[in-house]
Amino acid sequence: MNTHPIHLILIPLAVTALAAEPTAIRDAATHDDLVKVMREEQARATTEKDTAFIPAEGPDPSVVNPPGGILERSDIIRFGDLATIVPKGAILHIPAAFADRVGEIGNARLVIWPEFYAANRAWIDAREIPREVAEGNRRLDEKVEMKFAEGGRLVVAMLAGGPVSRLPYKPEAANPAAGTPLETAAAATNIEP
Amino acid sequence: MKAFSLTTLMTAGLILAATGQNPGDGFTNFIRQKQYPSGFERDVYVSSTGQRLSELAIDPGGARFELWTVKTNASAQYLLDTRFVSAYIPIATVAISTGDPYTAIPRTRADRPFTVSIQITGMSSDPSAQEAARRVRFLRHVQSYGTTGTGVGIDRSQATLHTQSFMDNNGTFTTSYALTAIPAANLAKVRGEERFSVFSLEDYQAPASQLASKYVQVWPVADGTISGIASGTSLRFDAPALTFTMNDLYPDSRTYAQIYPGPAVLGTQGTVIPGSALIVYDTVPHNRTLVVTDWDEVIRESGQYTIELLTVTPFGTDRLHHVTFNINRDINVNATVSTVE
Repeated sequence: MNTHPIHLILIPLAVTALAAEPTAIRDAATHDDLVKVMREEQARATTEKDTAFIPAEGPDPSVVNPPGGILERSDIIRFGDLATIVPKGAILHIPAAFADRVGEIGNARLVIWPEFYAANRAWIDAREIPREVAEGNRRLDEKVEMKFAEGGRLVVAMLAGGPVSRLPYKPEAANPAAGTPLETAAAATNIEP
Repeated sequence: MKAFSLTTLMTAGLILAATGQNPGDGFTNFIRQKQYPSGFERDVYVSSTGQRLSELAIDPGGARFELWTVKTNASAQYLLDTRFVSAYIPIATVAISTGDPYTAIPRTRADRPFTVSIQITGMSSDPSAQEAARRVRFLRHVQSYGTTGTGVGIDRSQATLHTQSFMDNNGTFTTSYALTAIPAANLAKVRGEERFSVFSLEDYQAPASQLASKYVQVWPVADGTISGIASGTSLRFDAPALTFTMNDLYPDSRTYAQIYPGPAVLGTQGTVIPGSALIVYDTVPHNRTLVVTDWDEVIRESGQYTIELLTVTPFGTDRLHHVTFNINRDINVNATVSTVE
């Protein structure tokens, strides 16, 4: 939530300006006043049911499936005064010389990836990977992976210009017996894949 | 039948407004995209406000976009908003309107009504479509800030689910609430927020996910007292100092005391007591105490007078307290005139 500095201003308002204002004045509402309003509201709600809202039950989905914290789902890369986060699994290779640049933020200041990468291109290789590799449906070419070590740079997986996690390869996902997810969804929604 | 195709959805404009902290406040904003059903995650970068196209095609299972703000020393993280988009899940928006025109966060007062508007598009009317394509879940959460809280740093996962309902039609639906449902021992002193959300239904592709959400802050009704003079008091020449004690002044309010001749009559326009006016322009309520002396200069003649403490907010003018008293400043000279012969 955004907070702003307190603005409390004592102003000797012009007497005539306020006094001349036509206003309807009422007594400030009390607890008893509001209890009456609440009872009237409850009576109205039971007699005027809105058919657009069908009463439902069940667990609270906002509690059942909350996204975990972004920091817990990320790796921190830092150097000098700057640090950034990338999705866990996005770092494909960490040279031994740069091992201490991954993990803790230290005294660095967190910035977004483009700002961090712009200042650290010399030792970071931002490597585009196929989407199927990110999904775990295809392996990264072994020759490509071997070259990571030869390059001597920290390698971060990218997809369409943004750091992306690489899920572990799932051989069964590569050749699903029951059709691809796209075909399955298309069959369910009558949409052509 | 959905109003848009999969191809359209793949290039649909993604609006993610960063409404929370900005880097200038020591926070950095991140947008994390999680794809379903595969589960891989990618970071998206946008300006602090504005919109851009999703660079990735949205899988049939959908994608969840999460707007986070993280303290630049990584000591705190807040999930500001999430949106789930998918090929067959409906699209929803939620808007809240109150009597307060403040735009940063919808806000109202414990005694005032408010209205929630839900717009749903893309809902399938095909009875053979999966349930997640045919209905959504509308949730109303309430969360108290406590007796003096302001909501800063609140853990929204602790909110209480007040009601939930299904919605299974496209269109704009409006529902009004006469009062907040935030629980409190004194309904006039509620401090908290209500959150209205639309969630998709869980299916085999993705879990139940937030499609839209908005919250409204509810602040307490102000109260106040006038001390230094009691009702029924008779004053002569020395007017006592008046103390105005005001609690829970609305974040956008001006408060003052007025005096007028005669008994207390609600709606009477009086004369503002010099030095009694106070303006609050903030994001949270405030308590204040003012002491005013020499206020009786506005009194011209003897008689009965009423002092009222008033607060003006976007909802109108409320009287917080009043006292009626008498002033007698007439000098009666009793003399006898006689002559001596």
